Amino acid sequence: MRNNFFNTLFEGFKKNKNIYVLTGDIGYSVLEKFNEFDKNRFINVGISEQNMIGVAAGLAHEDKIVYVYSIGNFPSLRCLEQIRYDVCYHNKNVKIVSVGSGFAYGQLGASHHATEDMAIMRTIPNIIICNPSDSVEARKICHISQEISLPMYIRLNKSNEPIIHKTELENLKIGDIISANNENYDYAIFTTGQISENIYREIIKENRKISLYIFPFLSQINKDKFSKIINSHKKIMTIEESQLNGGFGSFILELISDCRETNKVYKDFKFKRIGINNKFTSKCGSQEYLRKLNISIDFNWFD
Amino acid sequence: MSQFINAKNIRKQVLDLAFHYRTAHIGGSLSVVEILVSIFTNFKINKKQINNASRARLLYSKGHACLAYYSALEEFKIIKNLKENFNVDGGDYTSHINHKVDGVEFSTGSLGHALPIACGIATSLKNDKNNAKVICILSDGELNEGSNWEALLYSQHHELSNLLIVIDYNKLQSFGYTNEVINLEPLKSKFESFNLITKQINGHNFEQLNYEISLFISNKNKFPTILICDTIKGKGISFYENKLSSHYRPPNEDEYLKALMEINNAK
Repeated sequence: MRNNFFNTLFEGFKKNKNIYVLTGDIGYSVLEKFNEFDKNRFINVGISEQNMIGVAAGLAHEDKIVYVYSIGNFPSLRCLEQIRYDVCYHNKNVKIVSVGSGFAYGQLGASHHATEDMAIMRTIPNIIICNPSDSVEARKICHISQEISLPMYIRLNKSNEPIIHKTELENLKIGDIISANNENYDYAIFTTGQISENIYREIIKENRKISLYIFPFLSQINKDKFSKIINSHKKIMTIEESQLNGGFGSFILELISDCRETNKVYKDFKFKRIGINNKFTSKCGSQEYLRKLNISIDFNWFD
Repeated sequence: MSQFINAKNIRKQVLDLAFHYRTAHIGGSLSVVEILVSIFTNFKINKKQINNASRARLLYSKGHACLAYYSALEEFKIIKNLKENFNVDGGDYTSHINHKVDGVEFSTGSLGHALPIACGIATSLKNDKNNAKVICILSDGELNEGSNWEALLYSQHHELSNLLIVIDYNKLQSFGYTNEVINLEPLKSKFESFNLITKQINGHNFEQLNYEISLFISNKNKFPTILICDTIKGKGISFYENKLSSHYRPPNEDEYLKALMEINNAK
């Protein structure tokens, strides 16, 4: 996912002299080509995320399109106030790209588990939250990010993940919901991020009649389309590789509440949120292991 | 108009606003007046310039000292009717400077934010071969913030010779003297060890300020310039000078009249 995103960005970087790429001393074997192509527009700011975001805001003030890159919590939580105030309050064209979503860097320990970033980021006005599930979504999000002049938070997993989408998502727009299989089942799962691929595979493996909807964005959801989906299922489960408090499931519940107020959502249904239940993990493990340990997905809830 | 008269007018407006609107941070506003006047005049910051690509970009990191900054904008005719608009419900004149006001590049208020932004702007101008200068005014207290030191490292590594950093070194921060809260000294040698072109001057002396700023404007140095300006918190009003209370307490009516007289009589 990461390599696909940056290969796509590199194509834009070569053509558009306004694109800058900043890194917090991360990017071995991925970002070298940016430096080789244009040393001025590729800046390794060093291990200094607060400065990195401020520099990005300053560059964007001069009409540059600025990508900043680091691991999970570093370009997000470490410099949260700079993101809130310098970038989002001033609505600057800064794209924060974080790699290692959820437990992607499982063995590296809790410092590297990006399990609150999405929930925290989505409370900040003006920023578009993107959480792609595979490299096809990541590529399209990269294209979109070069075209719109808004702050964005782009949460990438790692590399070499299996893909869900067999063709390019040329028409994907911010706020779109992707139906990944058959929409006509009574039961539905809503997911976001790379864990979506696990769920997709699991539904096929267990031959479950569950409609799967993927949310590449946690921003600007089309409420008409969303309500139509909600009204057509009897049981809905959200799954996320993130803390439940304020996360994706909460985001969906808030949308449902908004849509009930306007009677767009009018049917009764059962609802369940699956994610990390307000806890840290100090165990070592692969992404797969830590997902099993912390996120218990039980399809039997639908029975 | 002379810089001395500019400074006098700004001080009067600072006093007037603090008295009428009962706002804090008068002390840090009074200490930075000559710094602001010398920057506005030497870099020709005026109404015609504020949207030009060739304008000097002024970042004011001590956004809490808004009384001085807004008053300078009015003194140099970039804004009008400050007294009617300041601090009112629904207005743009928040008491930490607001980028919705003409002549404010960035809102500030949380300390340690403007220098990294100034570095980003300076990087962009340098790469674009735009000769415009970037000025960043910092308070001394905010040198406690790590983000400033990250930015200082960045500024010298990237040889941002188009960047002028000005420290309003009044030696009093929010809850005590700087050398009692977190000692900054030796400050000059700290900056020198960062490869910065470092000068320490009297921040109330126009001759020294003008000289150092003109040196910066014409310089061919490789690194950013930093001016440590020794100033007096509450400068120009005797009962505020070098007093912690000047960070918080607006004047009562008697104090207002006394202060006004002192400013008017200043030579």
